[in-house]
Amino acid sequence: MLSRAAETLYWMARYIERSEDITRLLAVNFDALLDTTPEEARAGWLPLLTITGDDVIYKKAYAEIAPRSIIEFLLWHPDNPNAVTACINRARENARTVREQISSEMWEHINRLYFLVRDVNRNAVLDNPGEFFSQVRNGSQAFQGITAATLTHGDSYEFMQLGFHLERADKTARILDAKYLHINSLGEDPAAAYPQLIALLRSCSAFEPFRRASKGELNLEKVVDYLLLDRAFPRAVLFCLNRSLHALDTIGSDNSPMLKSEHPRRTLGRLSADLEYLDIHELLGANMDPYLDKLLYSLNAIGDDVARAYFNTRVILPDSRPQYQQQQQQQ
Amino acid sequence: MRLKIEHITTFSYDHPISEAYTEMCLRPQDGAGQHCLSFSLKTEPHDEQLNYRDRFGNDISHFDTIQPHNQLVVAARSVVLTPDHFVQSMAHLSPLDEFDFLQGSSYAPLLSEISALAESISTPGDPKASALAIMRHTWGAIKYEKGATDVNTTAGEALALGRGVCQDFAHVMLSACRSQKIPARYVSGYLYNNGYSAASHAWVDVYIPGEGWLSLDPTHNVEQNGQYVRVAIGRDYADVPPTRGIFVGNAKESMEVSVKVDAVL
Amino acid sequence: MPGRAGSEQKMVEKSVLDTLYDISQFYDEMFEATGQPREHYRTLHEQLGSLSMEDFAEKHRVADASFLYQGITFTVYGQESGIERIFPFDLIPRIIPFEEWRQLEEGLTQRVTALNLFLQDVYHEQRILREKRVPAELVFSAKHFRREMMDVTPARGVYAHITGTDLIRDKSGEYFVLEDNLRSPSGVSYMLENRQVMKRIFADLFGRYRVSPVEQYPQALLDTLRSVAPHGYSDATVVLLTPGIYNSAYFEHTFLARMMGIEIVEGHDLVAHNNKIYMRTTQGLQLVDVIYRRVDDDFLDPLAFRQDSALGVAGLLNAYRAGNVTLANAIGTGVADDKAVYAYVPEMIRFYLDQDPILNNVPTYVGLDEKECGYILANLDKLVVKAVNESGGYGMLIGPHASQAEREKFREQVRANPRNYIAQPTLALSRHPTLLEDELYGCHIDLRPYTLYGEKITVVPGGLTRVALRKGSLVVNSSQGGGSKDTWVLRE
Repeated sequence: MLSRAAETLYWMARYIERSEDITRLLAVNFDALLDTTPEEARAGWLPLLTITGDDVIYKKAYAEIAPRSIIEFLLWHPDNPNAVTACINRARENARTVREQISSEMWEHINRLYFLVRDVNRNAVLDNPGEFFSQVRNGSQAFQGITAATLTHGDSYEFMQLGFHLERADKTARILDAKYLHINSLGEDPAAAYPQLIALLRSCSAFEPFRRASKGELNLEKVVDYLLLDRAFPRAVLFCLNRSLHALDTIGSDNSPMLKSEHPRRTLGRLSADLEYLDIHELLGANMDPYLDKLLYSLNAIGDDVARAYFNTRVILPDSRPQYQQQQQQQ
Repeated sequence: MRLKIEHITTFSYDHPISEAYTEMCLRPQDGAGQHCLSFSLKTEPHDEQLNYRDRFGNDISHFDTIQPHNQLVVAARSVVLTPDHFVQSMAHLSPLDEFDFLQGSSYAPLLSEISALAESISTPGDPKASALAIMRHTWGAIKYEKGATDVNTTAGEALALGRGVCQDFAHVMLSACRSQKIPARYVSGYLYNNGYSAASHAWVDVYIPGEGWLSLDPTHNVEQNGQYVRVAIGRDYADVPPTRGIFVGNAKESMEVSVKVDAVL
Repeated sequence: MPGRAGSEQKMVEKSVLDTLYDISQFYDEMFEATGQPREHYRTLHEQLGSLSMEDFAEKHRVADASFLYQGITFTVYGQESGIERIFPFDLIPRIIPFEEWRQLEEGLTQRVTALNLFLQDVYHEQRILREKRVPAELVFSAKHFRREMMDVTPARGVYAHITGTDLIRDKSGEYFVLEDNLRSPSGVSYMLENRQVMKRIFADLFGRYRVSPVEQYPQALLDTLRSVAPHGYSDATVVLLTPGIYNSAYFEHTFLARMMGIEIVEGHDLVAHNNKIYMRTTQGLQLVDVIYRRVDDDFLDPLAFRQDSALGVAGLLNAYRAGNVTLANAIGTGVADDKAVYAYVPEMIRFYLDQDPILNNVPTYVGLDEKECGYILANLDKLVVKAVNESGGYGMLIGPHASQAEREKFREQVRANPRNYIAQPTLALSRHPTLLEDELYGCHIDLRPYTLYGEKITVVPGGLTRVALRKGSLVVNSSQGGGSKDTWVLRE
């Protein structure tokens, strides 16, 4: 398929996933901090800016850290390139340029999401954002379901899966990165740690699956293990990496396999193997922060490799029509 | 004369660029008494060169580089045998030449100031005398000065400024001749300056009906002689820049040109 | 003569035909001057008589929904929301009898042949100019004359692979050519979609008429494009080059690409290397043989044409010149549809084919010709004056309807740059019964058939009938309130 089409689908998927992840973070934080003191609340909101990586832009736009400002900033501030509205706008623009590659249902749905975000009463949302958060989340999740149910599961589909899962892996790692040190500092005191652990799990839609998987235990070590290394939970980093690997294996398997995907596949495979054999105890405490930084860096590098291998077809040239010319001569 | 020419152009980029397409109009012509005895064109990074002949009969080489690079060097070397006098007889111009070489062009537009001036020094019915008068006048009206004008200066601007380089002299003369219905074309080439300060050069051909082309250099107020090497012709500079190109990448381009013309025995 | 067009068949309370319908002044496609329907319209007329206004409105709703549902829309940009509208469509088909069509087909074939020979000639020997049958100055000063094309011969010597000729009929019903669109004529997707919708809505009527199909157009277009592939490749890779989603015809581009099963590409999807054109795919670079381009010459190659163009491919012209890729249509075809060069097409037919034109031109006065320019200036109140490089109904003076001041302004403009103007008598475009706000009204129409030229010339039996959907309006362009009708060419 055309590199541009692949790239567009990949980014469309990433933006949709990103809008969902940010919205979920907002929702979880909003709920968790409702019953805390204002000082605690402010401290709790701050990591959100680190997670999305846009804290510098925020500080230019707002004088102080206030929950309402942060929600506004992350939902639709015009200067925030990763605001939920910006993500959905870009996802829709991407969808439009590859309109002929996606199903009518997908196009319709993304339009619906776009109009939902565009036309909502913004002040009302800021006063009571819960309903809006869940609408956006549902919108993104439904889009992924519609994609699975209506789009041919070929290269287009796999490029979208690659986008969804690399974005998810990145967000899960970022959330861990932002919360780990704080929760670790709370020590073994359940009263202090539990709400934080629950919020962390909820931020990744992982609370209920974790409860079933962990058989009643709730501690930081188990939670980290689950979010990083679970093979079945769809937001765990390892799951996302393995699903991305599968996508790469599927893409272009019909002709000249591996020629182009060699690069991202190698980086991705290495990272996945690294996690597979990881001993979680080695990471706990002070080692966690550098490890997560390295993980985020590798995820970024995979994104770059994917772009180099599939989206910028610059250097690798095929032999121009070798068989054809031979046939011509024999005639 | 037998002249050896070396023309090296270096494009440098402050960041690597990913794709570049370059066209070069550097090969000395064969014909009208001039013989290009040898010609080599080398590019670095090396890529396959291809050629075509443009509408004016000029040989254009081109190549593309689709790998990241910071610098692009184009080196043209040739040995040329030049005639003492330029002679190109031609009874008729083709319809397109007749049209193109009488029209104003972007560098040499038809302007009322230039037209009035040209008319005042022309001899009606005698295009040759008129062209010579226009050459002499252009030579006197502009003082040769490097840096006074740039590659975008037009005939009107150069004349108003009263200063310029060979390209400006040629454009003024083109405007003036065409305003008097004398077909005139731009010549791009080299001038042997006894080994001093070489650069690419430009002058003008005018058409004398029934006879052919006469080649005049308004920068020096002389007819083309053995020291001139012809490379290309066109309506004005825009048709025959020695190199032109386009690149893909987020970078600033700078260009350096070095030209050497030597006499060989 | 005003007439009441009644019906004899099934009686309905108030049928579509039960409205006052004025057939005086202009040639009416459906009715004779006596008020009787023309023979080939009789069946349709009966059918309309049996339909109530409500029936008709219902059919219209079905049609509109069908267009919208299938996404046959053009996008109105400028607003962030990107409103999508359907191209207005009228349900009453235009019918062309077989004999009439055969004449048109012959006339179009003759004309397209001559135009291609003219293009071949002006970019090579220029015989027609040397023999002064067409003024050289007119050709060389045309905006779309491309010096880069001198001595370049496209595959099979074909320049205009796709032509969309605009035809009109005068008061007597004679067809005239108004414009030869030789660059990237659009609208063919509406021809195809109109037919599909009509089949759904008037299935019974199709049973009573023998209508020539048009569905083969995408395949015929693909065959045409393949037949002009470089080096005669039979399994050539064909792509459609679009300026992108902001182009008003983007729907048509995706539609045609889908119907032909080819990739739709933008400039940056392609790359030139060693005089060949490749598309960037996830499997690496893939060679492209034929580009059906819907991008203007100016924007095709920033190396050769407009440097600021982001829509094109640097190096494309060189690959084309080397014969490694075919562009359809060729570069430089626009010189032959310059509004002033148009005046000389009958002369081209005589010069190259030694035949008389089957289809006539609208009488045209060329500003560059001193005598004709004098005529234009002396008759500004009677003529329609057009700037040669404008289109879509812009840059035009309609003399009889213009104010003195407007005429004076044009007089100055024509004097200052006569090359840039032509003039024609005001045209009495034929009319066709059309439903306007629950009323049958005679709206002015034209006809754009599509002619394909590859191995041979094919005219697809049908075309786009454009209709001016404002009362009295002569402008059929979609940008100015025009719509379309299905066009039925009857079989023998």
